[in-house]
Amino acid sequence: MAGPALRAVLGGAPHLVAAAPTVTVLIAERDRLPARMASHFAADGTVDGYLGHGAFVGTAIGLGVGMAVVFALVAALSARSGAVSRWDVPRGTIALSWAVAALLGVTQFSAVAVNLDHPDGTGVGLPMWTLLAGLGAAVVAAVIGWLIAPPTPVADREPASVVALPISATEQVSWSHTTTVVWLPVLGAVLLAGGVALTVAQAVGAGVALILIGALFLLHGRVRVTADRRGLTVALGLMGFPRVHIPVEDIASVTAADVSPASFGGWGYRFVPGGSGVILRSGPALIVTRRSGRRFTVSVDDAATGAGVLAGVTGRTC
Amino acid sequence: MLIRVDPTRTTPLADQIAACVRRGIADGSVNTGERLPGARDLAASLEVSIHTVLAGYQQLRAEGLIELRRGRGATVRGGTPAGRAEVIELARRLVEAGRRLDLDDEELVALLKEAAARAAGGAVPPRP
Repeated sequence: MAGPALRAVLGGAPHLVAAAPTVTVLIAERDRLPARMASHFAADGTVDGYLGHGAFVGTAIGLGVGMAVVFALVAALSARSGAVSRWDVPRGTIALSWAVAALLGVTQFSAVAVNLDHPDGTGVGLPMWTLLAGLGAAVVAAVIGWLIAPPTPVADREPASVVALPISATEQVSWSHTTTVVWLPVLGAVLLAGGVALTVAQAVGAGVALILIGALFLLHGRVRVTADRRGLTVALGLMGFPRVHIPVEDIASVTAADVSPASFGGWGYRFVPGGSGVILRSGPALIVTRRSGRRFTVSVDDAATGAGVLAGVTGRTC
Repeated sequence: MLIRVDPTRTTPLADQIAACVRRGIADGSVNTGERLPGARDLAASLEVSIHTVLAGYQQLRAEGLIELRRGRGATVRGGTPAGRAEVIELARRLVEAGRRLDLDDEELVALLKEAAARAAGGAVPPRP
C-alpha cells in the first residue's frame, strides 16, 4: 500500500509548483510592476479590483501554501477509507488537486503578467483565452495526476465482510444509535446569527446564503441511525427530518469500516463519485452498497452491530 | 443499542424490550446519559404497539435505570452503575430458573439470604 506521506506530497506539491512562477515574477520583476496592481477581473475580463504589490505577493504565497496543506491532508487521509465508493476516490483526489493547482497557477500567473510594464493597473484586462488556457491546463494536469497517483488496492476499496446476526423467522430486531456532535450546531448557530445580521444590514444575498448554510450545519448536530427489517434509516436533526432511507430490498451488501471526513471532502451530508454519506466524525462507519453499486456511508459508533443486523435481515454479507 | 423481540416467546414483549436495554446497560454497550430510541420510532421499527414499548420503558424507570421526561424521551440515568442493571437481570433469571424447579418465592428468598450470609462470613440461618 502506498504510504500516506507519498499521497500527501502528490496532493500538496503541485500547489507549490504552480504558485512558484507567479511568486518568482512578482519578486524578480518588482521594478516592472505597478504599486497598485489589477488583481480581480469581471466576467468579461475587465479589471474590477486592485491590490498593492505586497498584498499580492502575500496572497499568492498564502494561497499556494494553504492549498498545498489542505490538499496534502485530504490526499493522505482519504486513503485511510477507500471503501466509501466503488471508484478510486483517493486517486481521484490527487487528480483533482493537480487540476485545481494548474487552473490557479495559470490564471494567477496571467493576472501578474498583464500588470507588467503598466503604470497603475488601470484599464488592464485579462483576455478570455487565459481562462480557457487555465481550464485546458487543468484537464491535462488532472490526467497526469491520475496517472502518477498510486491506485488504491482493490482490497482497500472492497468492503470487508461482516458477521450476520442470526435472526429467526419470527423475531423482530432493531438496532439504533444516535451520534451527537456539538461543534456543528454551534457553528451553525453562529452562521445563522451572522446571516440574520447581514440580512438586516441590507446584504440580503450573502445573508440568506449564510442562513441556509447555518441551518444545514444545525441539522447535523444529531443523527439517528436505525437498522431493522425495513432497512437502514438515517434521520438528521432533532426533528428527524430530512432522512435517508435505504429499503432492505435495495441493499446488496453491508459492512463496517473506519472512515475519515477527508474521503468526502468534509463533514455533513456529502457526495463523492459513486457514493454519498452522512459523516459527523472520523472513525467507525456503516457502509451499505446498493443494488445499483452506489455506496452510502454513515459514521456511527458500534457500526459493526448495525451492519450485522442489516446483514441478518438481508441474508447477505458481501 | 440492539433490541430484539420474538412474539412467539412466552415472555411478554414489553419484558423482552426491557431485558434488552438492561443487558445493554449491564454489558456497557449502552452508556450513562444515552438516549433510548423514541417510543414511536422503536414501535415502528419492531412492528409492535407503542404501548408495548412504553410499558417496557416504565419497567426500566421503576427499576431506576432510566429517566422518562416529556419531550426529552428516555435516557439512561446518570450515575446508574452498570452493575445495578446486571443484578436486576440476574435476579430475573434466578426467579425464572426457580420457577422451572417449582421453587416458591420464600425458598428463593431463603436461598438469597443464605448466599448473602455466606458472603458476609456470618452464621447461616436455619432453612425454613
